[in-house]
Amino acid sequence: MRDFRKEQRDAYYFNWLLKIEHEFQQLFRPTYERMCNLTLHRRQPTHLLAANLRRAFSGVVAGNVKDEGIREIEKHGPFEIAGEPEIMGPMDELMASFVAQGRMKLPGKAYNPCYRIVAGS
Amino acid sequence: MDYKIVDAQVSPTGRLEVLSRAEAAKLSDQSGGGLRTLYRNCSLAVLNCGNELDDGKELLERYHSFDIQIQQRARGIKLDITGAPASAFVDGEMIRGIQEHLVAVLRDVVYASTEISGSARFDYSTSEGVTDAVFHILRNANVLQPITQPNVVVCWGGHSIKQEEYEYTKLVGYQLGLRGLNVCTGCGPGAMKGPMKGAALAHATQRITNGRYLGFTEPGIIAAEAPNPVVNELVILPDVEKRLEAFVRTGHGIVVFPGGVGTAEEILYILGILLHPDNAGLPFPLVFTGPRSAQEYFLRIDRFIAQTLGEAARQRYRIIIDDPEAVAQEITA
Repeated sequence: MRDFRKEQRDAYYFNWLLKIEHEFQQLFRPTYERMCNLTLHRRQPTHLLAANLRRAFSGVVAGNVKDEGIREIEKHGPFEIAGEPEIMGPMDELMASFVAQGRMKLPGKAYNPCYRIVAGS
Repeated sequence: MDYKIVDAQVSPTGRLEVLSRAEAAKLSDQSGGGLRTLYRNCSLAVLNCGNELDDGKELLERYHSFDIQIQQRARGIKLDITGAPASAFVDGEMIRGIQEHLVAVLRDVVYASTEISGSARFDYSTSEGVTDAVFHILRNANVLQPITQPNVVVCWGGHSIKQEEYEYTKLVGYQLGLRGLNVCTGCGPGAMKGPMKGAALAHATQRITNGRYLGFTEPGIIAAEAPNPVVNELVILPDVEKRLEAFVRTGHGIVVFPGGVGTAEEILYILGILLHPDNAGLPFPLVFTGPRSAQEYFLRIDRFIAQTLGEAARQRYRIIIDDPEAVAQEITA
């Protein structure tokens, strides 16, 4: 890694060479509606699917622990996340395992999911 | 239930002891300016460290009488604090690390509002513009150090993890520290604290007195993940996206411990970036690790990645189970 940066004359202290697409930099403020409308299917380049999956998880983080997210859930009910069944199946399974293993919130209170997985097209 | 509170006056140490009148006015604006609330809430979060609470909303409700006012004095500014969590004080004196964090909050909230978000200098409609903004925030926080070797390891993982997993994160931090590496995390509890503790101990054994424990957070999460006081360089990025970018541009390698949805978000972020064709040849050590009991967890993550992003994504990381030494070696390789 060090040799690579040296060779490319990139700084050690800031990785300028790493390409980060705008898709990953744009702000995503999770609302009920935006969470519903995420594009979660494989008919898009893989890195864009990753960007959208990132948003889905980011929304659940907000719904779990962030002031704004918790208020959004209180207002509209759990986020509904929809997408291609081949994506939503594994996602549902993964999230359920987080819940079962107590990884959503600090222990002490029962976890009340802030999301619902809905199979779409 | 009543929570013990303390009133105090703090003189910021270090940089940023002066504020312009306009900046001070913005921060003390009672008329409902967004900056005032942001500043108050982030300050409260920093003072709440060490308390087991991961609910931003509950924190605000619990210390509803908390207030922080900036007093302009002849010799600089003072912070007037009322209704602060008592755990931030020892015999009436505020813990030094927490004092520093309070100053970091002030520095970053002011800088982000006056120099970053309100500035026409950065074009947020382009990728380069956003990156430039991230660079300027980090530089203003004095986090970017030239001359030194690449030695910052980013550690990601959950705030709510099992005791055994927490102990393991310390062992990995210890191995990193023994090799002179510094640790950067999201600065909350759990997998964000363990590696710093381990590294601090290792730095002491290697007589490294300038060990760096970087914590990158953002206003939305800081209340749920209060910075642990080991963090000696705290930066509050304006939002999740800039926080994630700060991690991947500052870090020279990433270690991922078990976690929940936040960790899943981080994994997808870095994989999405590394999958970009332009980054194909870029070396970026990425290790998923945990104790033996976490093996099942990582197999599940691995399967999820295979099912959604495919085989190419799996080539960008290595899963190492129950071997802290191998993790440190992989990162330095």
